[in-house]
Amino acid sequence: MKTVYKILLSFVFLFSATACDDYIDVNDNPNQLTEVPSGDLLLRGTLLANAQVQQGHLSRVSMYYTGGLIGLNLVQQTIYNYDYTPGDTNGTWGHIYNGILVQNKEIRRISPNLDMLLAIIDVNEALAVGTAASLFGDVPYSTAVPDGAGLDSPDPTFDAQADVYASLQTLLDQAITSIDNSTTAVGSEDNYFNGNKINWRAAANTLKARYYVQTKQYAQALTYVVDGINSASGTMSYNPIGEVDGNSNILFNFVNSSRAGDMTGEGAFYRELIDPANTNGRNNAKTDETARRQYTYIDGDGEQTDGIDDAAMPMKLVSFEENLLIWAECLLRTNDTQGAIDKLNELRAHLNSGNAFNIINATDTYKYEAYVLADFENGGMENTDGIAVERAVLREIIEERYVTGFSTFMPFNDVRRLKASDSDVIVPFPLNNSTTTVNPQRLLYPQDEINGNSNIPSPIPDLFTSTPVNQ
Amino acid sequence: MIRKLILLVLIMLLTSSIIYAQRTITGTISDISGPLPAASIVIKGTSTGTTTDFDGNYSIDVPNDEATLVFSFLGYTSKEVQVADQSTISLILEEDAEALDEVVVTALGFVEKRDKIASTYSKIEADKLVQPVENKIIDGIAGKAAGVSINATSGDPGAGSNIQIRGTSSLGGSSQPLIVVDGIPLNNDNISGSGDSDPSAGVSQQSRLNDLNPDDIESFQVFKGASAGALYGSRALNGVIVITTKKGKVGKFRATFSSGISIDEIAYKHPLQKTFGQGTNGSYSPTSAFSWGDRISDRSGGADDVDTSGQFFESLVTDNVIYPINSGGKNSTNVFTEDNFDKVFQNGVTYDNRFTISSGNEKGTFFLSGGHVSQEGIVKSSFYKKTNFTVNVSQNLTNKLTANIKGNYIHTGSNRTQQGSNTAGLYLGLLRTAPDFDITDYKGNYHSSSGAVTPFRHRSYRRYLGNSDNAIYNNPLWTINEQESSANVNRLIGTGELNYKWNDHITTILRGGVDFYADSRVYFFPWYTAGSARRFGLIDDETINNQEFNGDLLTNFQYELTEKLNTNVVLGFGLNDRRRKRNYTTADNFIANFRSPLDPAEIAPKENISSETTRTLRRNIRFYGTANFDYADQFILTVGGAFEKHSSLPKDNNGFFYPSAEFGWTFSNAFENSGELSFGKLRLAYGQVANVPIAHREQTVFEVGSFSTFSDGIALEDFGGGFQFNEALGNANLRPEIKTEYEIGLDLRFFNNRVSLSTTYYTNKTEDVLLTIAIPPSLGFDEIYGNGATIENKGFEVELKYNFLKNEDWNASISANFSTNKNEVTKLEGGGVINFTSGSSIISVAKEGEPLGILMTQGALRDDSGNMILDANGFPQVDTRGDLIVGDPNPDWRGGLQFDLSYKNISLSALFDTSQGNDMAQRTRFITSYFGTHADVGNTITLTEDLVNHDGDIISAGTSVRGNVGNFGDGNVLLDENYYRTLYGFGDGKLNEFAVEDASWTRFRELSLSYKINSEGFKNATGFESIEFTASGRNLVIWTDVVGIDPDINQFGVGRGKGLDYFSNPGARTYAFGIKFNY
Repeated sequence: MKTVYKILLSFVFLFSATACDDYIDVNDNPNQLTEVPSGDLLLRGTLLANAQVQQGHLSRVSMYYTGGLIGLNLVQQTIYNYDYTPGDTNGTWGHIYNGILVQNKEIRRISPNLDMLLAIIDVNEALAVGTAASLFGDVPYSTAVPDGAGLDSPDPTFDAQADVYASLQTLLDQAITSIDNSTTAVGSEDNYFNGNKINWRAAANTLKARYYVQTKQYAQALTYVVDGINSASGTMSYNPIGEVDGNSNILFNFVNSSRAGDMTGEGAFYRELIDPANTNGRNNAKTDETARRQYTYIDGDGEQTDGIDDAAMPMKLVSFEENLLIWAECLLRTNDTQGAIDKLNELRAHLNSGNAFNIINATDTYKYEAYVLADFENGGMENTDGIAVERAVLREIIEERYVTGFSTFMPFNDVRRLKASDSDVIVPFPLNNSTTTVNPQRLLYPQDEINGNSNIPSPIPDLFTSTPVNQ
Repeated sequence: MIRKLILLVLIMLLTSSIIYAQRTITGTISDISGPLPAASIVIKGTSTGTTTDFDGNYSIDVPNDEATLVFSFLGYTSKEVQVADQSTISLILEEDAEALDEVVVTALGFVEKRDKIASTYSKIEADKLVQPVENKIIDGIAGKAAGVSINATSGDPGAGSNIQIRGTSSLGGSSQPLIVVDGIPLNNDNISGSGDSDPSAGVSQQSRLNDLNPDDIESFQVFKGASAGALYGSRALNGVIVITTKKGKVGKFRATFSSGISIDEIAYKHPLQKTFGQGTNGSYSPTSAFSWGDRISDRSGGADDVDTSGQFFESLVTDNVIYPINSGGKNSTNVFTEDNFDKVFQNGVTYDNRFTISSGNEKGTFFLSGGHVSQEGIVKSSFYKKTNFTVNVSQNLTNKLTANIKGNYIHTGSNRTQQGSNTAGLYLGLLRTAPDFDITDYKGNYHSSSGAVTPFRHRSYRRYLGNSDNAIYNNPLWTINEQESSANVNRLIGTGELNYKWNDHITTILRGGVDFYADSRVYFFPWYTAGSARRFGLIDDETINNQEFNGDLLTNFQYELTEKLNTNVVLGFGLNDRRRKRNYTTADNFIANFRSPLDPAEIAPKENISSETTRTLRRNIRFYGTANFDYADQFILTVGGAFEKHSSLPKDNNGFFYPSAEFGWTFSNAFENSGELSFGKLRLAYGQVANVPIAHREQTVFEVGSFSTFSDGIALEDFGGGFQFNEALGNANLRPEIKTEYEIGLDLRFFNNRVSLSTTYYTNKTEDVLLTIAIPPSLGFDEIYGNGATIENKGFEVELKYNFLKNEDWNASISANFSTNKNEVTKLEGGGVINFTSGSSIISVAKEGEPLGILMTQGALRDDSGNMILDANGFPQVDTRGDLIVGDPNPDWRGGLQFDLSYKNISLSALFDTSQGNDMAQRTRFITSYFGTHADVGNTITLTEDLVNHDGDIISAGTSVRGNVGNFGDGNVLLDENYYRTLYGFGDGKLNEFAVEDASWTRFRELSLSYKINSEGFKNATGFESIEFTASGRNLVIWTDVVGIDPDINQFGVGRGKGLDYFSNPGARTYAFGIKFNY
C-alpha cells in the first residue's frame, strides 16, 4: 500500500508546479511573427495599404460620381446608379485603420529612434486620414486604435471633420520638422520615394496645402505650396514593381480581373470633354488633349499598354501638378490673377514637355501653349460666355484639376468643395440617371463600423448629405 | 459459474450410466415462453443428473426423499427443490438478470456492468455495427442510437460522415465527438485543407475514424451525456464514443477469414427533361447556357447542317470531327440525357477481404488481423483503397503484471470527384448540359479558320467547337478523366499498456498511445479546365502530418467498506500532445499544357507558385478521478472531476475543473417482488465538458499582408516582403466554452427482461462559446476570436427493446429509438449572423434566438399575416430588404426501428430510420429549373383557360405551351420560361425561398440475412468451426418528398452548415454479399 501512495505522490509532485507549466507552454504562434524586430519592416505594408485607399475601389467610385468612368455591369453598375451601400466602404476603411493607423502605432512603439521612418509614417497617415475626413466627414481619429484593443475596448468616438483636418496639419508640421532634423535613413521599403527626404518634405507641404484648400483656407494653403512639390520627380506615387497582379497598377488589376468589362471610360463625360472632335470641349487653339485622352482611356475589357492602367504605370498620389494648381487657385483667390495664370502656364509648360504623362503612340498629338490674360477676358478663348475674368481663370484651373486629377479623388473633392460657394465654376458633368437630382456629397460609413460602433453619427448621413466643411 | 455448469453437465453426461435406482422423479421444465429443452437436472452433492428432452420433459432416479434436485439452464437462475414425497416436479425457470448483464466500457476503459452505471449511453453491438463488407464504421451507427445522428456527406467512396450527438453545442472548432479506443483518444479529423478551402465545393474528404478495421472492434458505445465525458474535460463537448478492440482469447488457436463483394448503385437521379433543346425563347442555340430552346421532336431529323469550310474540332476520343452548325441547321433529334449519365456513372464494386488470427494461453494472448478494401465508386474513376494490419499482444509477465501492446497500420488511397458550387465539378456540368448535347467528344484539337491548331481543347455544351480557352462549365467527362483529386494516407496507431495488480483491491495502469498519420493530397486541373483560376492549369499539393501522443497513469481502488457499501475509486493523470503540420503548395498558369501532376515548381512560372506551412501544437495535462459508491445494490453514486491545464488557454488562467455527478437508484431492488418489473432504475446526472480555443490565438500576429478593395489586390509578398498586423486581434483572455448538462432518465425492464425501456431527458447549455466576433474597425482590428455566444439544447431520448420470441431455435426482437432535440442560439455577441455556408445563395447560419443552422435567403414579399404580396399579374415578388428565415434543417424528431429474427443458424435483421421536420434547400432542382434542364420545366400543357405569364402576356385557352400552371393565391397563372428565368437563378433578387422544402425522410437503411453452418458433421468434415454467409443491403428505400437526391446529402460536408444541396455528388444504394470462415 505505502508504495502505491509513494508512487502516486511522487507523480503528482513531478508534474505539478513548474514542470507542468513548462510542458504546456507551447501556445506561441509557430507560424507567424508576433513581434517584428524593427518598424521599417512594417513600412511597405502601410504604404501599399494607402495606395489602395487612394487608388482602389473608392477612387473608382468617385470617378463614377464625377463623369470620369461608367459602371456597366453587376456591382459597378449598381454603384454607378447611386446604389452605394455601406459595405462598399469596408475594404478602404479597414486599410485606413488596420492597414495604416494601427501599424503606425506599432512602428512608433518599436522604433522610436528611427526619426525619418517616423516622419514618413506621419505623412502617410496624414494622407490616409485626410482622405477619410474628406470622404466621410467626421471620423474616429483621436480615440481610434487604442492601446490594448480588445473586446472590452470602448468604441472610438468620431472627431469633428474640422478637428481632424487641424490634427493633420499639426501632424504634418511635426513630420516636416522631423525630416529636417532626421539622422536616420529609410531605403527601398519606401515604395513612394525610396527614402528621399527632400521629396517627403515637399510632399508634406503640398499635402498641407491640399487640406487647407479642402477647408477653404486658401491663404494658409498658399504659404505651403511654396515649399511643396516643385518638380515632376517630386511627385509622390505608388510604384508598381512588376507585372503580376500582386505588384502592379491597381487599375490594371481591376480591369484584368473577373470584373473585366464591368467598368469603362468609353462614353463618359470626361472623355467627351477632352475630345478634340467635341467643339464644346476644352481643346482650343492653344490646347490639344489628343495624347492625354489616349493615355487616360480605360476600355475596361483589359488594360491599355502604356496607358494609365498599364501594369507598370505609377499611380500619382500627391503630384507636382496638384501643387501648381493649388498655387494657381490660391493666388487667384488672393486676388493675384496674373500670378494664377502664370502658375497655370507653368503647369501647361510641364504638360507640353511631354513628361507629364505617357505618350502611347508617336502620332498622338498634344499642345499646351501658355495662356494670357486676354484669353480669359470677355470673348477670349477661355471666356466665350462672358463671365468675370477671375471666374474664367478659376473655371479653367478647376477644369484642369478635373482633367489632371483623373483617377484620383480630386474631381470628387472639388465638386463638393465648390458646391456651396463656387458652383458657377464646377465642371458640368451630368448625373448618371434621371431620377437622381443631386450629386453624391460623401461616401457612406462602412457597414463594419455601423455594426459595431455605438458612436456612429445619428442619423447616419446618406450619400447626398454634405460633409461639415462643405456645408 | 457458467463454465462450472458446463463442466457439470459434461460430467453428468459421462456418468449418466451410473444410476442409483430407487425412485423416479419426472416433470417438465419450462420458461415463461414454453418448454426448455436440454435443461439440466442434477442431484445436489453428486455428479448424477440428466437433461430435459426436446419437449422439456425429464426423468431422474433419486436415492431418497432427502435428495435435492438442482435445475439449471444457461442464462437462467438455478432452482433447488428437495424431492420429499413428490414424484413429479415441474417448474418454470426464470432468466438470470446477472447472466444477461451487458457490460459497458467506461470512458476510462474499465469494464462495468450496465446496471451499475448511471450515464446515458447507447451500445451498438459490434456485429450490428458494420455489415459484412462495409468499411465505413461511422455509417453503421446511423439509426441505431437515440440522439445520435449520422449524415453521410456524399456517396463518394470513402467520403466522410458527420456525427452529431444531442445537437450542436459550439460554433467553431470540431463538432465531432471524442473517440476513445481502448482508453486512448483516436484522431477523427475531417480536414478540408488549403487545397480544398472552399467548403461549398471541392471533394468530400475522409473521416479518419473510418480507418479502423471493423473486424477489430469488440464493442462500440456512444456516451451522450456530459457526465460521462467530464473526465475528458475539454475534448468531450460533443460527446464521447468508446471503442474497445479485440484481443486474443485464452484457448485454442482461432482464425477467421472473410471475403465480400458489394455493389453500389446511384440511389437517386435528378429527373431531367428530354423534350426541349439547347437555347432560349424556344429557339435552338448551340452555345446557350440554357435548355429553353426548340422542341426537339419538331426538328427535321437526320444529320445537322454544318459549315465545313472553316473552323472545326477534331475529337481525341472518337474519330468525330465537329463543325459549326449553320443557322437553322440543327436537324438531329437525338437526345443524350441517359447516355450522358451512363458515361459518367457506373455500378461501383467493392472487394473486401479480411482475416483475423488469435490464440492465447495463461501466459498471454495474441491477435492479428488484416484487411484490404478496394472500392470503385459510382462515379467512374473514383476509388478508395484501404489496407490495414493490427497486432495486439498481451503478456502476463508475472502474477501481478500484465502488458498489452497493440499496433495498427493503415494505408488508404483515394480519388474523389469534384462537386458542389464549382465549375469544375461533376454534377454542375452534367445537370446543366442540354439534353441534345452529346458529351462524348470532350477533348480534342481545335482547328481555327486560319488553320491554327490548339491541341487538347476542352469541349463542353456551351463551347461545342472547343473554340475558346474558357469552357465555362466542365464537360463531366473532363471532370472524371482529366482532373485528379487524390488523397493518400499512411497511418500508424500504437498503444501500450502495463497493468499492475498490487492486491485484490488496487490496480495501476500505465497507458500510452501514439497516433500518426500523413495525408498527402493532390488536386490537379489541366489547361482549359472551367473556371478562371484553372483555365491554364492549377495544381494544389498538400501534405498534412498529424501526430498525437497520449499518456495516462491511473490507479483503481476497489473496496467493500461494509457489507452493503462498495466503492470504486479511480485516480489518474494524463498527458496529451497533438501536433499538426500542413505543407501546401499551389501553382497555376502552367507554362505549357501538362496533362499530369508534376512538381508545381516545375510547371508554372515562379510568380504563380505559392506555398504555405502551418503548424499547430496543443498540449494538455489532466488530473482526474472518479469515486463510485454502490450501496445495497440499490443506490449508485458516481462523482468525478477532471482538472485540466491546456496550452491554448492563457498562461495565468489555463486550468479548469470539470465536475460530474451521477446518481442511480435501482428501485426495483427495493422490493422483494416487483412483479412484472424485472429491473427499474432512476438516473440523475450532471456534468460539465468543454471545448478549448483553437491553438495559437493568444497573440496578434503579423502577416505578409495583401491589400484589396474590390478585385484589385496588391500583396506584400510580391513587393519583396514586409509585415503588417493581421486584422484579427489576438485574445489573451480566452476561456474554454463550457457545456453544463443535466439529465434525468429512467431504465425499466419487464417480463424477465424481455422488454427494456430507457428514457432520458436532458438539457444543456454551452456558455462562452468561441467564435470570431466583429469589432469596430476603428479599433485597428476587424475581428477578435473570443467567447461570445450561448447555445442551448434540450431533448428527450427513448430506446425500447422487446425480445418477443426466445427459445432454443427462435429468437426475435424489435428495438426502437426516438429522440428530439431543440436547439437555440440564445446569445450571439456582435449581433448579426454567423454564416457557415459562405458563397451560397441560401445560407445556413447561427442567429440569436434561432436554432443553429437555420436557413436564410431572399424570399417572397409578404404582408404581416404571411400572405404573399403578388404583382399585378398574380406572381410573387422578391423581398429585397434582406435575408429572411426560410427553413430549419434540424429535424423535429428522429427515430429508428430494428427487427432481428433468428431461427437456428439463420438470422435476419432490418433497420428503418426516420428524420421528420427537417428542411432542405434543394438548390440543384431550383437552378436546373432556371437552366431549363429539370424535368419540372419540361412539361407541355394545353391551356384550358386564358392565362397570364410573368411578363403580363395573356396566352389564350387552347394554346399548347411549355410550362406549368401555378397559383400563388390570386388565380391560375402560367409558369413559363419567363417565370423560371426571372425569379429562379443565382444570388439576390430571386425567389430562393422556393428552393426550400420539407425534407423529412424515412429510410429502409439496412437489411441483412445471414446463415451459419456449424454442425458437428460440418466441423468434422472440414475442420472449420463454422462458415457464415451474409447478404445485406443499405439505403434500400427512402420515402421522402425530396426528388433527385438523398435528403441526407450535404453540400457543406462535415460541418455546421446543413440542409443544402447544390450539385452535390449523389448518394449510393449498396448490396453486399459476404462469406466468413471461422477456424
